[in-house]
Amino acid sequence: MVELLAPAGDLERLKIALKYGADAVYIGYEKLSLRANAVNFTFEEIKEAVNYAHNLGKKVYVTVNIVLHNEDLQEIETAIEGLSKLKVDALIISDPAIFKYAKKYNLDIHLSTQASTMNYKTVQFFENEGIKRVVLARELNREEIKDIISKTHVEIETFIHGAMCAGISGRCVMSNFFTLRDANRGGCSQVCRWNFTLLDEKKKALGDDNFTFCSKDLSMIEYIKDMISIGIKSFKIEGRMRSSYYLATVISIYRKVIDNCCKHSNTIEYNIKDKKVLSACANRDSTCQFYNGNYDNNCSYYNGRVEISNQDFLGIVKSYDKKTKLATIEQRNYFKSGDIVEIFSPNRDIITKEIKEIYDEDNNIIEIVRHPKQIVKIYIDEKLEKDDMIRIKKD
Amino acid sequence: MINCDNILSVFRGAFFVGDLMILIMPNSLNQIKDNIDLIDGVILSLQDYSVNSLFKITLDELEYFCNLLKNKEIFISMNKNIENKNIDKLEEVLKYLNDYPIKGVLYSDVAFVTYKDDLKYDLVWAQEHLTTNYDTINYWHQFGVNYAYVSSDITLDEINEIAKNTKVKLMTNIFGYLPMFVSKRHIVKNYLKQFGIANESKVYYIKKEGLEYPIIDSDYTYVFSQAVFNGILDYFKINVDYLVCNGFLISDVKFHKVLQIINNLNIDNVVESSKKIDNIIKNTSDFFFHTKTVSRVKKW
Repeated sequence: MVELLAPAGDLERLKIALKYGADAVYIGYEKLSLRANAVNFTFEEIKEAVNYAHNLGKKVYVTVNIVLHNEDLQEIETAIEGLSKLKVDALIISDPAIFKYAKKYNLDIHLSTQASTMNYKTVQFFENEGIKRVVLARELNREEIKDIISKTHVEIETFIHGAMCAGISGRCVMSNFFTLRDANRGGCSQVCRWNFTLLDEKKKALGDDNFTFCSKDLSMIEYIKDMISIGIKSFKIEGRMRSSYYLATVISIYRKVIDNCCKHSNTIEYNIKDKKVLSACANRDSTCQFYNGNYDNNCSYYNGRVEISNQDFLGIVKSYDKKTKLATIEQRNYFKSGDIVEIFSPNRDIITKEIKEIYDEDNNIIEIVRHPKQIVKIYIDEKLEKDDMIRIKKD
Repeated sequence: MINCDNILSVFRGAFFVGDLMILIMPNSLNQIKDNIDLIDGVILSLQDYSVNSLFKITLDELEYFCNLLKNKEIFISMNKNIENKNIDKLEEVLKYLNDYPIKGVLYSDVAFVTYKDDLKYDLVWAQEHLTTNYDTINYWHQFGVNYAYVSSDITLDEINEIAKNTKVKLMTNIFGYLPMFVSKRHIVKNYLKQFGIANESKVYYIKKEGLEYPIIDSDYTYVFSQAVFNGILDYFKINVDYLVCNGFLISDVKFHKVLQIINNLNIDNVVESSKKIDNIIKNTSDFFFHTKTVSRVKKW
């Protein structure tokens, strides 16, 4: 069975990720994680996360994937020992200086994509070092991944969805040079998404004034069946800083696709609507990047692109009263009476409804919900569950 | 080679380790020929196996360079990630190098370590931007890696602390543009293709706020710093074994002048020498030597 592995920036999103179908989540330990801008987890929160996940029969991996400097070495053992006591399921590590501590405290090691592992010899080396899983470099194509799997015995994990670095992971410190924020210690300022002017060797400007390195996102929904067939064991979704809605949407779609592929090998494993929904909840276009061997100029943006924040997500269900058929909603984006919405849930098919009645917290009828995080009640004549997501219906 | 007889600061830990070795990473054949008496060795980038260099040699040319560099230390840079399809060829190349007077091979891909027992030369862990602490350097040392090329984005104090805590011989940059980005994507070529622009420059630049950063798109894409690193002022405080001068995008004439200055360095003229280099190059910086990057990771 393959694993669907999702990111979680905090406890709330961890619970959403697991509820919507992730088999495992990866979270950052606040002191040693590469996504310093994510909320990240304290020891206490990791303990709660692990208990929550284990009660569901699911797993929690902790990213300890910064590139260590001397000053980080002093307390690393204490940190790893602490994580081992919390019974986390594995550490995601890029710096091999941490291996000895992970081994000492009997923690499984997953080699991070930050190590940019691109060939089977390197995987074999780490296999001999006792690493349980390798997250391969994001630049590999299908045949390379397949070849690595055929020549090694560790679990292989690859990314299936989300943002991509323009550079080889770990080999880009533009953030350090431009902003002094250390890319390999959690401070990446995403210089690759800035605008530059491109000059030729005579310093003559080429094209217009907005040259960027910006990669489009990765989306492997069309390739999941194939990826399962070549032996990839874990499918990773990028984005510890993504919203609950994004996670719920992406996870639930990939959950469905993976289950279809595993259980009904002759059925269509994804549909166009899923693809559209995935596309709509991101703010960039996506491609399969290097996987099909046709990496070309369509895999990146080159200039002048404005990232538009997604407005589809209207709210999250906090509770549902079966007697009154009123769902209590926490608002995320503007909506109004008469809007046609889709409500999705981990446990049932998507339902489509028109919003007919909206009440404020004092039970006054209102027409428009315009305030972020505003609590309102809407009439829905079908039972909803806590954490169901409501989005505007398109097309 | 710099005479350090009177310089008390050149120590490895508590022990004087002798003379600093000057290596160059040349940008042309002339940068080798012009400076052969001013240097202790050369890092030659091998075609198809190296990144962050424009001047690359082929295996067929190796004999010529070995003859040219008799009595000099020769290191071969093979600091590119190796793809599956090239693994068998890699083994052949590494064994081929056994027949030449090679001091060491700079590697980035861990696959190199798996061949260590078959090699007659040393390996230099040169995983740019990851060579940032002594524990990891010592990790590789236990697999027989006896050299490390420390990352260009750490401070002088960090470099010296690494030196105190490892037996591995260390290399670090002292002069030249610094690499800061490597990608398997053809970032410039695809841009030109996307907009139908015909241009075949060897080097391009990306410009931001008046600063120009060299960018090369060949087999991979590399981006370099906007200024030339000049660490000469701290020359006698750097506690490593090898200092590397990179000739990338430096004219042969200027590179020669810089190496002459370095060759005549002593503790009394170091400030003046550093200024001379600033005047020759114009656009210099000491980058991270005295400036720590901001780690968003909180102390604990």
